[in-house]
Amino acid sequence: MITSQINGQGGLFEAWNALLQGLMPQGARQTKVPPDDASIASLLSPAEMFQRALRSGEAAVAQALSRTSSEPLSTALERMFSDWGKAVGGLRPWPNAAGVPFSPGVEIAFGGLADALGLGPSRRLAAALQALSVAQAEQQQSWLRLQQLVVSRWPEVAQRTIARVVTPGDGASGPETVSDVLSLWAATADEVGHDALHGESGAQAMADCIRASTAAQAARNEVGEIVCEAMNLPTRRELDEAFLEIQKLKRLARAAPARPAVAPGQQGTGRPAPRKRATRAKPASAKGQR
Amino acid sequence: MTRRRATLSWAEPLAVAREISDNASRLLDGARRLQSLPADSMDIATTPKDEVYAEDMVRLYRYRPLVAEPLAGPLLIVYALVGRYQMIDLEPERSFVRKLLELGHDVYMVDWGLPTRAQRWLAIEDYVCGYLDRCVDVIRDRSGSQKLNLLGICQGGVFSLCYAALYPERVRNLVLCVTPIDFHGDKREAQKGAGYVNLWTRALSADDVDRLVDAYGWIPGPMVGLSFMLMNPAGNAAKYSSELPRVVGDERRLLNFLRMERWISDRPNHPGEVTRQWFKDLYQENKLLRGEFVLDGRRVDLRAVSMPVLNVYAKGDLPVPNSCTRGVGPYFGSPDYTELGVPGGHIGTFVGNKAQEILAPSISRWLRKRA
Repeated sequence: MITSQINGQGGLFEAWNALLQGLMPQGARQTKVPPDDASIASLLSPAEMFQRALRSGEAAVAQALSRTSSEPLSTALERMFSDWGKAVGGLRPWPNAAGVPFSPGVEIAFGGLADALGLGPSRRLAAALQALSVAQAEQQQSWLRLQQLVVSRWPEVAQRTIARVVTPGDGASGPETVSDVLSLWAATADEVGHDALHGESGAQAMADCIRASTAAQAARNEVGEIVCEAMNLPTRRELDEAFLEIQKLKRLARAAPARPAVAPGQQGTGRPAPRKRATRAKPASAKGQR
Repeated sequence: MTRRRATLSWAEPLAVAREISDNASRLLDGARRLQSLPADSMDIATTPKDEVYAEDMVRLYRYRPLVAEPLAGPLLIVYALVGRYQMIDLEPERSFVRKLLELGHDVYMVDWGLPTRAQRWLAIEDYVCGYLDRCVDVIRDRSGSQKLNLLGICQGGVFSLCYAALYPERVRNLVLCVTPIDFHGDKREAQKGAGYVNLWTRALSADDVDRLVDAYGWIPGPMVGLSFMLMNPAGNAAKYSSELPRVVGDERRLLNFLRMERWISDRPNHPGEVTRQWFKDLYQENKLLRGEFVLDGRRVDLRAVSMPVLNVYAKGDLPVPNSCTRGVGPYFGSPDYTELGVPGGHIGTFVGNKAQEILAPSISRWLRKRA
């Protein structure tokens, strides 16, 4: 794992991942299983989420540190965290759910030390991963709210389908096969979906999904930036800046006057003549033109 | 009102069991048939053509004429960025391009290619005033015609319209197919299930669009495809369990199905700056119709569109509601404006059997009258 390589402490990173998992409600950890109402409520309650994270994080840190106790650095860090934690009132040096340090003093002391040990990128990465987790949870919630709009009207699908099976419309014949019924059901389901979504609330729910997806993508980008910087790779931002420069140069080239249409000194038409930029005609292969 | 009692044989357990068994046999036969098919049987866009110009990922093709003496005026087809141009040449029996060639037209096609991250900054002016303008240069140079016929499809129709407004002296006739022009038309005439992009784009703020483009850089092709699929999610999912078993026993219909699926799954990435303009300037602010859309420092004035215009709309179009396409004649400077409604949906208009008999011949007749 890249994160482990950066940190040099796989066990600590496992702990951190476990802490992040602790931030997530039970349902949200399983991306294929939608969270239940209680989990959604806990997400909306920062205090509860924070408590959940602390409980889970404490246990995870203890477990991970015990596994890596043979490693000198982790042993040292364990003692250090423990002593300094006591010194600042028993708080762990992890940021809270909003990514804000518990106290500037802790951040200054531990941050300075971590930076001195070359762990600066991993601290930033940890914060970015935490922000990503929150953004992804919000993204999932927004999709659930959108689905809920449709699902709340789901009984209508069966009712309308049965009605159409029993009494087809004018001139229509009823379904004769299971496939016909399936097609009818699908058309009815989409119709009900349109009823649910084609309005103000539907548009807002879709817009919320896009906003949440955007935020999650921005958080992913941030993680990518940190990893690239740590590994001395060009970042997305740097590449985009380079691409923009190239595009600007192309626009300049386009705006520059092309080969003059008339001889110098004569009055031009104001527009360059067609440029002979065509490549030699060559047959395009029948498949995969490129 | 006449009511017919439904045939309920499907609900009999034995009939259901028989159908399931039959479907399973058909699918097995279909799997064997697929194994025996040659690798190129899934090829699409096979009408012979030559590459006559290349720039970045953009290619300009000229189709080889199918008649001895093609018509004089070249016809340039401009497709959208959200899909590949192969849709209008899906297979020989369902090829809009082939029909036009058979009707004697000299057809060119712009393939916008597959933009990469390096092209994320491409804006609509780069396409209209850059790539498209240079393709027109090449065609003028090759054909010796000062003016050509321009046929734009969907987003390509918007590009063509902008081009015709900015360079009217280079366009003889303008044909717009399933092209959104009044992006707020759906406000006047809402149509359930149609115009989702209009709806959710207006539900976003301009800042939301900026953040979206900044975060993604481009809109990934699969996301574009997903947005189309979600317009009818149940129908799109059910076709694999209801339509596929029906066609799997017939090689020709099976290949029709699979070639269409191949086209659907091949979605190019959508350049970020085009997306920004497309959503903010057009969908949110309707600047094209209001005469406020600016490309390369020049205002796109629809009154400058003085050449004959044929505006083709699909009666069952869902991504581009009819209300966004129709009734825009008064905004153009052209005294020769025609609207033509054809059966089918946004894509079905070009690949459906019924529409095939109407679309290309109608366009051809209209162009011949104005040659």
